[in-house]
Amino acid sequence: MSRTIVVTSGKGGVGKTTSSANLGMALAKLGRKVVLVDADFGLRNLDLLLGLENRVVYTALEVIARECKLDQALVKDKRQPNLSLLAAPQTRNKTAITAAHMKALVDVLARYFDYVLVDCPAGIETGFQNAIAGAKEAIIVTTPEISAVRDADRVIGLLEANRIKDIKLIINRLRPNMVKSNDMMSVEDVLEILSVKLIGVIPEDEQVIVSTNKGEPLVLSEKLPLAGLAYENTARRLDGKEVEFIDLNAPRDNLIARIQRWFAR
Amino acid sequence: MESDLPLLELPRASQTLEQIIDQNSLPQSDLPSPAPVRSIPEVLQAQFKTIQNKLYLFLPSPKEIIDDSGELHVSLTWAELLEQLEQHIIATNRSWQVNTPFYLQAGDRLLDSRQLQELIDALQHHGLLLQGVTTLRRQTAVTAATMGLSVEQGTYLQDLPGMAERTLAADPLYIKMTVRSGTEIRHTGSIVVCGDVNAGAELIADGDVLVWGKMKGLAHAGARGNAQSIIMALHLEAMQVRIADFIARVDPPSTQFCPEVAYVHASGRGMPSIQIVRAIDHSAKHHE
Repeated sequence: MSRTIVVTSGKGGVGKTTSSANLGMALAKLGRKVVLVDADFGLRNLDLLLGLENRVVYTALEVIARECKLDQALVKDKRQPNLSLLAAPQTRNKTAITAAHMKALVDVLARYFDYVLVDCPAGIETGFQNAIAGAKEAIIVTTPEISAVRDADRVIGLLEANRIKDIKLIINRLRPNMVKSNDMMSVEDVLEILSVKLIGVIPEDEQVIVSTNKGEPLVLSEKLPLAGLAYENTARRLDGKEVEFIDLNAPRDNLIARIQRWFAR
Repeated sequence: MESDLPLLELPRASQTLEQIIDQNSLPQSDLPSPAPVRSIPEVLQAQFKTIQNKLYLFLPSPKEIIDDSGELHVSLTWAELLEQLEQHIIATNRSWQVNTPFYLQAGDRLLDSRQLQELIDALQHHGLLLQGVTTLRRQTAVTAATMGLSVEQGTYLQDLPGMAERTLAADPLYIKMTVRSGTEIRHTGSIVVCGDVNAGAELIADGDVLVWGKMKGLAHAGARGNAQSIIMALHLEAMQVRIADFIARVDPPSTQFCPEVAYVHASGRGMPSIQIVRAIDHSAKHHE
């Protein structure tokens, strides 16, 4: 049974695209056939994060305009053949397509893939309405900030009004130290407001920036950084497995921790 | 908030005080009573109502605003209305048996065949089957008739059998869900929410507002000027409460977990203002 999931947040810059890329790649690693659809028309980023920019020939727009076949527009990832990308056009804007187009496109993709992940643009206007058109489920990405949580709350309301009831939550860029010193909302604080099912907590990690710039999702790293591991666990939970949440407060075995422990002796 | 709401005006303190005294102490027979105005209760949001065993769906009228440059804005577009309707059904937890017949009260809203079809499709998901349409618009009547629906044109609420003037307003609206940011619930009676009201949500009632949960959003009770209205919540965390023409900041929001009541306090020499007290104290005071 194929699943069509939109990754959305309301607020921009909270990590929708990063989460889409990493979840897609992690699900592909689990052996699922995954297609990532960039619905951010005019501001496409997903191909960059996946390092597939130079291989994009056709975009979703050409498919909709019947200027190419669907499989011509799908870019297959060489590192992970289970993963394909349908890029968004960079030259047009959100009004280039309608919700009906998007729904038709996503419905066709659902016949060939186990997972159709739609990367939604920020905001709640046309682009958002189009992106959610064909989706049956949603993943909300938020950071533990009051503004991001408020926007996420609004988006959950809109999704419910559009008959998307299966909504899961990823809390991104959490800093356990700041939570401990009461300078950041905790996972519990966010859940209390949003009251949807949590499937992932991703700690703040510098490696995310490195991986974005390299065009290589975190979960492909040989030695998984903590955020990468968190994404892998999130993908497993999404796939229906019970995985325990990582204890982000536990001492990490890295160089600094070792030096600290050495001094503490 | 829209700028044309009366509550943004300065609190008309003295006037409201008089109203309170009027209602509380003076015997009504001594006052020259104004001629009763028979008004049609305004439909603020899409809502269902059963009248004489028939289920009716009332659609709100579109509000048209012409701005300075002469451009026309419609305040409640069709897409927004459908969204609101869907939210209303989820919120009120209504469910119907498959193919439950219902009748549409479209009022003066102009509907084309695409919109009617969208409405039929949307409500079919909830088991509702459109039987007939009542409208003030000829064009809508023609459209509905072409679609094979039974049509009644030129009548509205007051002509419905058994439709007393205030029945639409008197019913409280019962909502069972988390009211999320951006959701606006307006009702001509009282609003009862069984769940949390998150920051950024708005509850606007002509009667009371009761929240069985955390109240972090904006509540306006007695929105049409009834200063006797109250706001009650298990935990009142709102930044601001509004009753009739009064506004009070709740600064800082109370931290104690105890049910509270906001009401307009008019006794004593001072200007009437909104007071927030613990629910037990409020009920004790009112039972004296």
